[in-house]
Parts: sequence; C-alpha cells; structure tokens
Amino acid sequence: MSTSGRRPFAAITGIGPVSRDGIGLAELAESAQRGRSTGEVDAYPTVEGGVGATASVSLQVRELTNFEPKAHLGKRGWLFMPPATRAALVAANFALRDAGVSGEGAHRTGVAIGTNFAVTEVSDRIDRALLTGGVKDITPMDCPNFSVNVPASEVAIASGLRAFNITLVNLLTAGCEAVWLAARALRDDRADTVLAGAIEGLPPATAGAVLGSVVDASSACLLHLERPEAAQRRGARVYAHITAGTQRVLPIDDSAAACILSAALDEVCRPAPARVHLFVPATVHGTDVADLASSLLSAYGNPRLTISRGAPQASTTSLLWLAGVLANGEPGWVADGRCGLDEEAGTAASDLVFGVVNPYGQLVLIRLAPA
Amino acid sequence: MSGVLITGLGVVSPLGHDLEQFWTGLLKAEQRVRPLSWPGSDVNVAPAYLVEEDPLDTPAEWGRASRFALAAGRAALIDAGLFSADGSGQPLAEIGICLGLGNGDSDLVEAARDGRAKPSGLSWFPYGTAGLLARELGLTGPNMAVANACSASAYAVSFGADAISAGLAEVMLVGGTEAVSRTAMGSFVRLGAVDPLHCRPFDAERKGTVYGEGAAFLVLESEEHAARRFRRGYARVLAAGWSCDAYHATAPEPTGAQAVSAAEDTLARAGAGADEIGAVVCHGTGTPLNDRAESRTLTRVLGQRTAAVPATAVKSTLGHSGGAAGAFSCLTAVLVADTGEVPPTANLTTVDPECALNIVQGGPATTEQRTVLVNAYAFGGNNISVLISADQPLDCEAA
Repeated sequence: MSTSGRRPFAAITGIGPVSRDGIGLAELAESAQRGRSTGEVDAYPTVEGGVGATASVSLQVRELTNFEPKAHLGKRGWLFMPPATRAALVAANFALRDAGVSGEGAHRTGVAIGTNFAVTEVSDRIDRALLTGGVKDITPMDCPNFSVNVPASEVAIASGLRAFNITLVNLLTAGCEAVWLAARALRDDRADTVLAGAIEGLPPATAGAVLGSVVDASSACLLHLERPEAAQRRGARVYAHITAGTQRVLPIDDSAAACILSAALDEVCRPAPARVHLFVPATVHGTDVADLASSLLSAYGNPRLTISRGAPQASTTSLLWLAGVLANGEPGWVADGRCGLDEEAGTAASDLVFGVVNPYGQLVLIRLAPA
Repeated sequence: MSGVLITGLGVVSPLGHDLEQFWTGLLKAEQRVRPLSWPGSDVNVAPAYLVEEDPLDTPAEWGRASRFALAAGRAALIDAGLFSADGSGQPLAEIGICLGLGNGDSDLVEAARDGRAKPSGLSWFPYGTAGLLARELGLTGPNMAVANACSASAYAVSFGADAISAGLAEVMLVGGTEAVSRTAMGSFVRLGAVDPLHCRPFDAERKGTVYGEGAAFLVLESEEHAARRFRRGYARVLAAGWSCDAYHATAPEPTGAQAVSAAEDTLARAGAGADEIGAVVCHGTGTPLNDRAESRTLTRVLGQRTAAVPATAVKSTLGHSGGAAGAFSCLTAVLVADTGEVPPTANLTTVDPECALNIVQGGPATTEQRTVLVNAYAFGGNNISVLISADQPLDCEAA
C-alpha cells in the first residue's frame, strides 16, 4: 500500500459505471482501449434537445442507446422511475458486484450521491401538467420524483442500505463531493462501506455554456468505498486509496483566487503527486482556473497538469473519467472528455489529484494513491 | 464533537426576520397561514405559511430561496460578530458553508416555464444557492449543498459540525432555505398529503402537512476559535446520528427502527444517556403516518421518561419548510437550550392516542435540563437526529 505517508480514508474496491462508453467496468475499459488504439472519435448520434428545449435554445443530446434497463433490472419495478434512477440502480449493482460483496453488510452501508439533473425532466413534466391540465393531470407515479433525493433513496431501498443516504447538488462538483464526504464518513465510523458517486439525467437546454454543447441524456458512476484495513482483511481488490481531499470556493478576484487555490493545493499536493487533472466549465468567465493552477503547481513539484473543459455528463463526468483511469490501471486519461489513454503518462505508481471547479468557484480536489 | 459552539443565529421566517420576533412568535404559537395566490393554477388557495416580506437588499435576479438564505445567513454572521453590524465588508475568518435545500430557486425555473421570465445567467440551475452565498458573502471555506428533502438542513448542521471536528474548518455557516414551489405543491396536492386547514402535528384530526418557507442559519465555531475572540456560544452541537429506512420512497418505516438507530447513535456519539434529554424538537409534519412513526421512535428512545420530556413540533407555527425545516428545528433547539423555554405545538385540539408523547400545548413549557434532541426525517427514509446542549459560561482562562 503506497499512500505517500498519508493514512488513507478509504479504499475503492468496486466501480459501477453506466454511460454511453460502457455499461459496467469491463465495457468502459474496453471502450477506452479501443479509443486509444484507433483514436476513435465519438460516433454516437445526437438529437437536439434538453429540458425545456425550444427552436432557439437546445443542446445536442446523446441518448444512452446502449442501456437496456430490462437486461439489468428485470421486467418490473423500474418502469416509472426516471432514467437517472434506472442508471443509478444498475450502477449500484455493478459496484457492489465488482467489489465482491453481498447483502449481509447492507445495514452498515451508506449511500452518498451527487447530482444536478436527476429529476429535472420529471419536475418539468409535473409543472407543465399542472399548468395545462391541473393537478389531476399530474401522474401520481411522477409525484415523489420532484424531490431530488428520491433516486438515491431508491438505491438504498433496492439493496437495503441503511447506514445513511445523502444527496448533494452543487453544480458539477457534487459527485466528487459525495466521494470525499463518503470517505470521511468511513473514518467517522458512520458506515462500514459506502456507495458514492454521481448520477445524472437530461439537463436543461440552457446549460450549454457550462456543460458544453453536447451532453448525455443520462449517466451514473458509483464507487464502492470501504475502510482500507477491512478491504485488506477480506482480500478485496483495491483500485486506489483516497488519501486526502479538500473543498474551497475561489473568489472572483484573481489574486484572491490564487491565494485560496494555493491553500487548497497545500492540502492535497504535498508531497507532490505525479499528476493533477482538473475539470472546468465549458466557458470561462473571469479567472481561468486552469491557467491559475498551471502557474501555481511549480511550487508543488510541477506535477503534470491536464484539463477537461466541459461536462457532458454534468457531475458524473469526473467520476466516469476516474473509472476509466482505474479500469485501465494507470492515471493517463486523455483530457478531452472522450475515451483514450495518454501514451506519455507512465505514472501508474504515483499519486493522482483530480478535481472539479464550477462557475460559482466551488472547488473540490481528491488525492488518490495506487493500491 | 464537544468543541463545536453555536455562536450566531439568523432567520427569515413567516413570523418575521428578526430573532426576537421569531422566538416570540414561536412561544405564542402565532398562526400566519393563508391561502396561496397563484391564479390560474390548481394550487391556488392551498394553505401555506409564507414569508410575506421579501427580505432586504438581496439581488433581484436571485430566486426566493437564495434571497431568504442570503438575508438569514448574513444575519447569523452579524449575530456571531463575524461580520460588521451593517453586513458590509469581508468576514473576519475563513468560513465554509453547509446548506440544506429542497426545491432551491425553483421559482426562477417555473417563471421561465410559464413565460413570466427569461432564463439568464445560471438561473436554469435551481440548486446554486450555496455558491451564490459564498461569492456574495466572501466565504471561501468548504462548501456543500445537501438536498436530502425534509432532513436536508439538519444534515447540513451535522456536516458543518463534522468539518469543524475534523479540523477542516474553524467556522461554518450552516442552515437551510426553502421557498414554496409550484411543482412540489402540485405533487403534494396530487398525493393528497396537504391538510386543508393548517399544520397540526400529533392532532387526532390531522390530514397532512402544510407547506412553509423561509431560511434558518447557525454559525458553528470551534471552541478554540470562539475562545480566541472571547465569544460565548448560545449552545453547542454535541453530536448527530444518521440512518436510512431503505423502506419506501415516501412513507416512513412504521416501527421507526432506523429512526431509533439515528437517535441512539446520536446519544452514543455524544456520550450521553437518554435521561439527559430535557426536550425534543420533533420532526412533526402533521402527516398521519409520520407522526405515529416518530411517536413510536421517541417512546423507545425516551423509555419511561416519555411522559416527562416536553416535545414540540414547530411546523405547527412555521409550516413545513422542507429543506429549511431541519435548520429551523435546530435553531429552535438552540433557543430552548439557551432559555429553558419550550414553545407549544399549535393547532392541537385532541392528541392522537397513538402519539403518546408529552406534547407541549397551550403555552410554553420549561425545562431544567438544557440538552435538546432534534429529529428530522425525509422522503426515502433519510433520518437524522441532532443533540444540542446549552453552552457553559465562557472560561476566560481557557482563552
């Protein structure tokens, strides 16, 4: 266990991705390998859309055409659930199975999920029904789903996970925040294991400046976290250890932002990691955090800095990227939001810091050490 | 968690936006419920506890929930002495935010949908309040927005306290905000979950909950940080325990087993016994199933003392403010711990015989034991209990 002298908060022992690049880790890894060998550019068809789309405002939406809920969830029980909830249920099953755990520890398993748009589409449908036909036109099965915590609750209900159930919603950062919260919850003995990550549904058509012009209709990525010593005891495969994390808000003013970003880097970049990967919004207003980080990292041993602009899967984007990194055993993912591994990386035995910053300046950084 | 003090409070509520006004209104169980005015919509005339006066100088392009949050959050920081009295300038410490919310600024999205407004900036994103607050108030510390429905802001209090205990922050602004949402109101009406009159938790004739709105914030501070500036706390957060029913998307697990687990974990983390609980601020929504499940929970937690411990349900006066409700309950618990007075539960004519608690009725009760248990539950069985206790007089030598 190489953790740069830091006592790890959690071991990542299971990964459950549901995305257009793969349903389950094996598919995601295969997709990534294919992308590396062929330089394949995204071949998924898109349609114009997004919640509330009009003739003048819309996104290019990639449907999750490779996802058949029935194949994973059976014939019943999911029909009235929003797409993000379906993806969440399947991601949870994959993560638990990948971790090699069964249901016996469920009462001590928590759920921490970040999302921005899990219920945006259904909320829109409820309100439009109310406006056009009145209360009677609201579909009763839609009703609970106005509340954004219901998808995470369905994950708990499906597997009997009773330690806790938390939904976080900060724009783009919520998924990483959920992972960092889960790691700390393990250290605080609030659970023995946690399913943590992000799920997303269709975003509003007006979200292009933040997400980018091409988005996915739904996605999910849940990680199975447990205490490192417990993982070791049961001989679990460990993808990586979470050894540090931090959250801050960067002010608008450049020099103040530099000061706060330095404080954040102090917490996760000492000793120097091999690589820092940042996810930033598609469009920059004010301080460009990528430039700022680039100028500051020389004080931290000049780790390799890579940037992803845009978030086609909103808060799930960074975790799907991480899943790809871990699935292929090396932190060398190309930073363009598509599949593909960086040939130059070669930093498998070193630490990775990855994180997200959003248009409000909210920042979350997490440090991982190889197992 | 014994070192987490509560040094500032702020509210925007149907009872008013001043702490004194709020507390007096609670003690008198004032009723500000009125029909909603949304002509052209089926939720028009549904009862609600509304914030009548839009608070002060908040930016007009912000949604109601964010405006409530900014006013209440700023008031809490001023109350804690971390902001100048007029709310201007920069905070006197690095401060983080943990915010609980439900529907967020859904009013902006709804206005865009029905053509009353055009989306601008980030108005399409209803959950941006924690970010807006941080930028507006200059709060650069850890920042989280939790949306665990009706228990969200009790979780926010717990997250803030945990952040301080873990050394991730010295000062955290924690709380919740909610504005009545047309979408949520429509869903509640469709589910038949709204009482047609008013919110009457534990009453035998209760017929559901009644929406409320507002914001409640608490400033949490490490004991050391408060001591360095010679600041006494109103009270302290002793501990919080979490659990999940994993039972049903909207209904509570009827035996309350997981809610009991949350309360017992809270006591265990605090190193306290149930016999130290001097009062309970219940979740108390007025929904038949919820109130019964909570009563069973408390009967198990309090045991033979159930009949002796005063319990109150402030939603009877404030309405059910969803994402802000847990923070309103925690803030009430702080004032109970500080003053020894327990506000009454309003609108209670006949106590449901299945709710065998010592519900405070008629006027305030008093308690000598200044440790208060807060319960908050939510859709999906997202349970939490928080234990809040009176602070001791400041030990200047420790400073």
